[in-house]
Amino acid sequence: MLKAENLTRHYNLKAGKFSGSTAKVHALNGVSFTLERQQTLGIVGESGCGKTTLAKTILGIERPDAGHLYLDDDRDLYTLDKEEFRKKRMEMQYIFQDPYMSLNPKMQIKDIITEPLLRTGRISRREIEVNALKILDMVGLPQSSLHKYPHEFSGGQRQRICIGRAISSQPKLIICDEPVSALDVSIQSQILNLLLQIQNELAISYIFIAHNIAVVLYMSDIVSVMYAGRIVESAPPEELYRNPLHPYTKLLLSVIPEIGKNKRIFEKKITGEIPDLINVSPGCPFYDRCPVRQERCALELPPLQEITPGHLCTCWK
Amino acid sequence: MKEPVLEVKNLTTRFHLIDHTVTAVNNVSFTLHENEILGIIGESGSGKSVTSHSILRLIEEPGTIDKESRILFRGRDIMQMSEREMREIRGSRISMIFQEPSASFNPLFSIGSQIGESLRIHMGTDRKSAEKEAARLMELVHIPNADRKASDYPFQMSGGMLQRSMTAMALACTPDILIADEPTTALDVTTQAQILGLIKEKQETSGMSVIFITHDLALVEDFCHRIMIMYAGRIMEIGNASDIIHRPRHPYTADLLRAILRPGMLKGKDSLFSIPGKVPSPGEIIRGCAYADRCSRCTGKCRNQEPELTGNVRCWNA
Repeated sequence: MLKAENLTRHYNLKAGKFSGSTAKVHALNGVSFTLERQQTLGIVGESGCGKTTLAKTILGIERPDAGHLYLDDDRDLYTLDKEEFRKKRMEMQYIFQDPYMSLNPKMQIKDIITEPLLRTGRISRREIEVNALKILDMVGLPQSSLHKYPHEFSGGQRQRICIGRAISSQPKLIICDEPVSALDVSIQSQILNLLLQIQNELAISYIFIAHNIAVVLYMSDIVSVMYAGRIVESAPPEELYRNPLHPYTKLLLSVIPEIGKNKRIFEKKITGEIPDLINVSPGCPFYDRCPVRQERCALELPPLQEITPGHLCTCWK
Repeated sequence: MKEPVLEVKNLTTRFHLIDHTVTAVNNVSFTLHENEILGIIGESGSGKSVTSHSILRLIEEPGTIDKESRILFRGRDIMQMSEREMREIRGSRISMIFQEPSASFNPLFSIGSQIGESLRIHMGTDRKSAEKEAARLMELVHIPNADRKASDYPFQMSGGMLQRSMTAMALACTPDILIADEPTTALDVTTQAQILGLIKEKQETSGMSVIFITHDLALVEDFCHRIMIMYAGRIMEIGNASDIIHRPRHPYTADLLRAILRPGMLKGKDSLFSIPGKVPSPGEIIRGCAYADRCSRCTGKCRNQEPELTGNVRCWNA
């Protein structure tokens, strides 16, 4: 349904007043994937790994420097004219991390959650309330929320409002960018369950982005691990958990807290720094932190290869 | 049993708003022993941060700490101290690491000079040697090229580096107590492991005690010696960390444990438990048990009468 090929985004840093340097931040380097209907692609990685740039590029908020994106047909989204792109863009919605900053405080809930639907032209202004009630019901909010404003809701309820807004135009794809990391533990599981339920009811595909590998493993059908703007490993969640291949995936799994396991994560020795995205080395970006690095790794970038069916990894070992 | 370093007795902190009063911390008592790590666990609004700020008397208008509250630091009541005595304690005997490292440094001074500041104030060290010592401390928290990094400004450092620097600053005067208020919440998991390692290392080598505040129950089981579960400004359960994790007695603790996603759980196979309802909003009047509305073991008594904290747990049915 959705196919991305070689998405690349390099940000230009402004040249200084005195030096004419034209440095580039290599935020996204050749990311490719495919996503089927009603499936979830999970993206996991730490801050600065390019997760959000990837999301913005898919939505066309950022134009890539290279790469192609196809939704449903063989027309590259980035070659479409403005009007055609806008139509395609309506098939995609976005749920942000912070439900406090992503809702207009001056709008009533009924207007917020029906705005994308109204924009499609499928309903008229008079039909707002009827549709808003349906959506409220789907995301588990009381009907009395209709005329309220965002400040009257808690964090978890606001995230429900955001989900309602995202599903209102019945999109094919929703990009969820850290949708639960700002929420309390007891609320996180409510929202995750709601997202799963809605996916089953509406057959929506998700791109689920988070830094917490446990959450991504739970929500996804395919998990891609990102590091320094690249996918370094990709596999179905069970396979990735049981048989991680890339040393970075192993590191992530070793430091994620796990209750009842006495993992003693504070004793893990983590050396090296995250790579510089401006002066990119020709070798593997994980070289500096890698416990199994070899000479070759500093010089040559390992390609993303299929190791076993469905399990891709980029590592010379 | 080791000596207590800090005894908090009947701490109640209120915020007086225009039309109502919020009791953020409600009659909280606990003891922190020598060389112990005590975890305080709670969701937003549970009063865990207000408790720690109260210990350092950092509560500002419109907040007040009730007169009956006692905070004994090595036997001396912090509540009775003058502001001058407090200043000598803050940052020197009791220091603090905050959640948001980038908001806790002054952008106009170099990291080294800010770490050195507490040495200059509390130890009377001169500027030159304070900066040298700062670089040494930064090396201790595993900052590469510490000598050079000491003259960097906050904006030049990553979040992880800044949090390591703040840890260095908090540890500069080898405090008796370190209060770490969600020190790793804003950080990546790999950086989180590093910061926890630093705190543990220092606690083991210097003998300091630590109050470790977090909302993540999965973090504390092997890191803390004892943990205290807070909800709506109250202690719901307190005790030995592994006991609470493996044999929770309060329904809230048990529910929290069930609601945490474990790595390796899969959507088709494992269902994810979620606690119904939401945390009571601040200022909400609670008649019975604060958790009654969301509790699966709730009875009529729970709705009408609040249970006391007896035998380390606040529940009628435990």
